[in-house]
Amino acid sequence: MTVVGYSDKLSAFPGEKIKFMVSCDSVEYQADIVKLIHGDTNPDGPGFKEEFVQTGASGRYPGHQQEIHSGSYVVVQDSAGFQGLDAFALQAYIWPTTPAKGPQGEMKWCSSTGWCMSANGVSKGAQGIITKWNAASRSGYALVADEDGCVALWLGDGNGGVAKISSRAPLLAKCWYFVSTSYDRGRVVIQQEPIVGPANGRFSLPYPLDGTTARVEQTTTVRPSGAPGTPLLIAGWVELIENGMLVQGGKYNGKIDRPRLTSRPLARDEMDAPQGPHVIAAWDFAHGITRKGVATKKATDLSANGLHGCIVNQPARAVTGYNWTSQDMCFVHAPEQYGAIHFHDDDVADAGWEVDFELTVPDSIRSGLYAARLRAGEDEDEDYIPFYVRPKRGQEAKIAFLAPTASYMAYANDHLTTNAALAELLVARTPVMGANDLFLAEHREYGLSTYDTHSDGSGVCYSSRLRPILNMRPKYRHWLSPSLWQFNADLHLIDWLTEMGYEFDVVTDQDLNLEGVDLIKPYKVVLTGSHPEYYSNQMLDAVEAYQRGGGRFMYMGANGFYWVVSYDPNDPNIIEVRKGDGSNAWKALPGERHLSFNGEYGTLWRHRNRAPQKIAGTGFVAEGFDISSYYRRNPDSFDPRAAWIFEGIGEDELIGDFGLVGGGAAGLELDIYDQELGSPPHALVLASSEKHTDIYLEVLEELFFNVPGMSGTQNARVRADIVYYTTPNGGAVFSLSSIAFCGSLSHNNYDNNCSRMIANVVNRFLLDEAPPSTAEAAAVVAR
Amino acid sequence: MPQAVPKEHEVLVGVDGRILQDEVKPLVDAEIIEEHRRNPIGFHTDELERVLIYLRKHQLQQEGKLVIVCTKPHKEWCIGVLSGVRGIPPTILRDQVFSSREEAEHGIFLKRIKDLGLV
Repeated sequence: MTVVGYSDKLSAFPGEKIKFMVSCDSVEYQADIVKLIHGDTNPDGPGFKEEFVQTGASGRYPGHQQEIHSGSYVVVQDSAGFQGLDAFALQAYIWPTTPAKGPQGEMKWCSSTGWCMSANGVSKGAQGIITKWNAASRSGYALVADEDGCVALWLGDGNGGVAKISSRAPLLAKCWYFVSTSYDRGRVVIQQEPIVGPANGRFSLPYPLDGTTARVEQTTTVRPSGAPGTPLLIAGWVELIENGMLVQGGKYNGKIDRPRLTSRPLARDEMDAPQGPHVIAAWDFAHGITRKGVATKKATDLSANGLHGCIVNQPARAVTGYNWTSQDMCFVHAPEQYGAIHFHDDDVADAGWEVDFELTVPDSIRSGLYAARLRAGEDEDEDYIPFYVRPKRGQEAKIAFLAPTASYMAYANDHLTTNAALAELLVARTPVMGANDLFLAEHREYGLSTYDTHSDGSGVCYSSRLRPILNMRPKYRHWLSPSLWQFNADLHLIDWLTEMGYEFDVVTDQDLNLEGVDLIKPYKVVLTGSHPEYYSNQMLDAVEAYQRGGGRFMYMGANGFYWVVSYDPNDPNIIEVRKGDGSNAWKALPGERHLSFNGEYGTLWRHRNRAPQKIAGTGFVAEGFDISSYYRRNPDSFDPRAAWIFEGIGEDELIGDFGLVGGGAAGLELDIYDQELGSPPHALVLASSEKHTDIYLEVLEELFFNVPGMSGTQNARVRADIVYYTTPNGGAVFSLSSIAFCGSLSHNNYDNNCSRMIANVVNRFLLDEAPPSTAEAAAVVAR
Repeated sequence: MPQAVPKEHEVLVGVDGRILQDEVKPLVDAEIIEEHRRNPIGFHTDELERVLIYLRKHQLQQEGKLVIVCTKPHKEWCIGVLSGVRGIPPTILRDQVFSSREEAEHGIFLKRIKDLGLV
């Protein structure tokens, strides 16, 4: 791609500034601001629609390339304490995940050639553990896992003299080791010792690790330099410093617990709380854990020297340490057993690019979804950087589209097509890759989604939006859907609201998380996106408060309110999720299901007794992604309290047997009405979908045992239920329960039964008068 | 998602080979090939679906797995071969160009059954 970019803000008020960061291979590029209406380029639909917006940001800008340096680490600024050491020891507990061979081939950084590829299964290269090492001048001292996967001490005098002394015993992946390297006036001691507990690592008996214990003593004439000006790094080393920007080399994969720098080696029993003048620095990654989590980016030094570090690129926090026993499953209950950080060579929290241009959101602009459109090169290669404009306070429309931006972030730059063996089975089609996907397949440094695994196989639990997110773009077609998914699919709804002449505002999950119900309280009607899957505590509370307060809530999709997430309380650009016990792309390791950002239990909301059925009347039951189907009316749809919803729709009409997402309105992911999980007993189940293929299977969290007969043609629970019920104070909920639905709204020039049904509901919900009550509709039926 | 581990994978490949010979191969005939050509995505006979599920698994290996690459939106599709290595994008096979996604889907089906010696 010739040109790509991202913005500092996701949403802004008129008058506010948004900064855009751009990387461009061409000499220059054209930037314009456009309003996005319809992002689906399918020739069978209404086609792509955008409107140019006159702003001061329009213009030609010089292109320059900007790179992303992925990889997490701790950086500690240089200090006099790191210099002139005649004797020192570098020690830690480590749980390396790719000490020699990764589960897949890796990109690696070579000082001489830059990025290069190691063949599948070949050494990843040396990885820094605690280093005061400058790769450019080969000076300093460093505890590393070397290219053979052995613990080693590197010493460099900065004048060409380098000593690399290895334990000569390769470490085993995913096992804890106490590693110790020391230097004392020419004498070097290297030690590595497996720490095997019943639950802390891959094995509970030490036999596979017998050969990995080592102690090596050696002398060297190399007198290490203190590498003045070079910061100390944990989980990497300083490859170079370019224009003041540190580029990390020796990217370490795995956990590090209790890293120590002392003037004499510590015995094992001194490692936990070292004290005394010989302690130069003793970092405690559990420091800062409170009842509310560990959202800090500071790595605290417990020594008197206060050599605190800064944690870069959001490695995994709240992970089990070398001494974890499995008796406590939550880090806030046993912080001393959670003294580790899990670093990855592909973590990215902030691309950190220079600002290329700014937009002051025009005062006259209406709330909506906008984008900076960038065009460059002879082929007019383009990128769109989306952003949302909020209404001025007090000037809200009656309708709000609540863009599920937390869910967009969860899927940001996913790599399932190239990395997930199950992807094709899940969709029962061959995944299709487009230009953006090919770019991401090559540029892994653009970071991962919460559907991916890191290069060491561990799950990705954070996603940041401070990087180009190339699958959150208009025109983008996603492999998981027969056509569109998430951000671009939700433009189907924006287009319908626009074409039908409704005045509406657009607000985001990020705003809802920060402001709570006050954000949506002004609106008569709030519509969700097609897949509002990732919800924080604050967001769920806000939606429930809106419903209690008489709001009218239209759930325009499926598999919503599903995963527990938290936004970083100090940075609204980052979300966290811990997967497990659901339909999951990965599973959090034992003891790591609690969110580091707030200390809460993660996984699914239903496991916290807040199932989606309580919020929307329906919740996730089945998924399949090959083709979509239709709904058929249920007897409840003829109930006088609901008949208005079907005005203009025939009694026997199939609803939505057409559409741009899989050819029908009921598809991809489906939700079901279930009183046991909290669907209101007084709800009317108006219509249900049918005739789904056998690719549609009941989801894991619904199963007790895996038995035959769980798929579409054999299982009446594989269906989407359209549900309507009223809530206190004149409120109501209307739920579609299918992700594909909004793709059917534009069919036949917006004149179709899906469009008619949604218009009937929106129009009724806009009235001051309360919608027909369903309160007396049903008694509680015990299952 | 499962990661390939050498020893486990070796065992899996052995059992998978017998599944291919005993359960899948006997199902491949002109009838299911024609059925797939007419309708590559959606409802299928049990016979065709069983063959497809086998092919889609690709022994849970990403290296050498086929994908569709859309080379011109809504106009042109090719077959891509995954490298199985992070950072190396798929190799695009330009010898065959398809004018619809469905044609590409069928092209991959034919290539897979041919490569496995099923036709």
